[in-house]
Amino acid sequence: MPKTTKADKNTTVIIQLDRPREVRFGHKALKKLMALTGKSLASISEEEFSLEELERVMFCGLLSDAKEHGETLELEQMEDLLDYAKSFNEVMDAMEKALENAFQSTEKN
Amino acid sequence: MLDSSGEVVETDETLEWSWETSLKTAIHIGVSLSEYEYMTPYELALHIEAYFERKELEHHTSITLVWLGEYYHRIKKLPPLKQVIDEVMGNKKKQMTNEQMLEKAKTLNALFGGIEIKETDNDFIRKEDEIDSIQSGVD
Repeated sequence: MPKTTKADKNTTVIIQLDRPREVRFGHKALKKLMALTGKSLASISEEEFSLEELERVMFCGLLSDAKEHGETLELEQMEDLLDYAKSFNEVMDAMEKALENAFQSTEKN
Repeated sequence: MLDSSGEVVETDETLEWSWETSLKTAIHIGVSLSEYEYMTPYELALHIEAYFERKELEHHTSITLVWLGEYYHRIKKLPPLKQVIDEVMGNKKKQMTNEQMLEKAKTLNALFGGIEIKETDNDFIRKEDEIDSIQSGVD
């Protein structure tokens, strides 16, 4: 299991790679994701991802964390970076949780 | 899209995401472009909710002010501003009942080391006084 923290409405998802990194799908990451994968937002959560697509999705999700740490993340680095994860499932789990958090509905709705 | 009963029916059309509408909404509620790019659609939805809650509160405040203006215009004697503020803020001092006053007195008495003299003790003291006065009369 990835080191994710989601208590109540805590929307932070952390995955342990070379260091603990936050997976976050803000609007910028989502726009980049659509441009890189050619998928629509409505289909993102429903479709299954290939390994290559998973790298692209995680690349978008890790961009804001890299920016916060003053790093320049490249898509080419993703293969090596994701190898730090304990398992493929850990990466999948973090990605799904972060996407779910990004699109969850508010308590009012 | 709404059905005949007025319920929202999800269609491909309603599910279609519009970046322009999303960004425009963010701009309307005062979210900057950099903030918008960082926040998730869920966080934007929270911002929108909070914005409309604040607007509703402001609307209520405006109506209340107009209503109070008219109210004070109609009454003969204008109460002091402090009194009005205390009343509105719920700081108005309440008049204590006899029971509450007694309880307060008992608490203060206990706090300062006083002795509580019960009714039976009073009767005893009165009787002793009576006996003393009779004895002094005899003497």
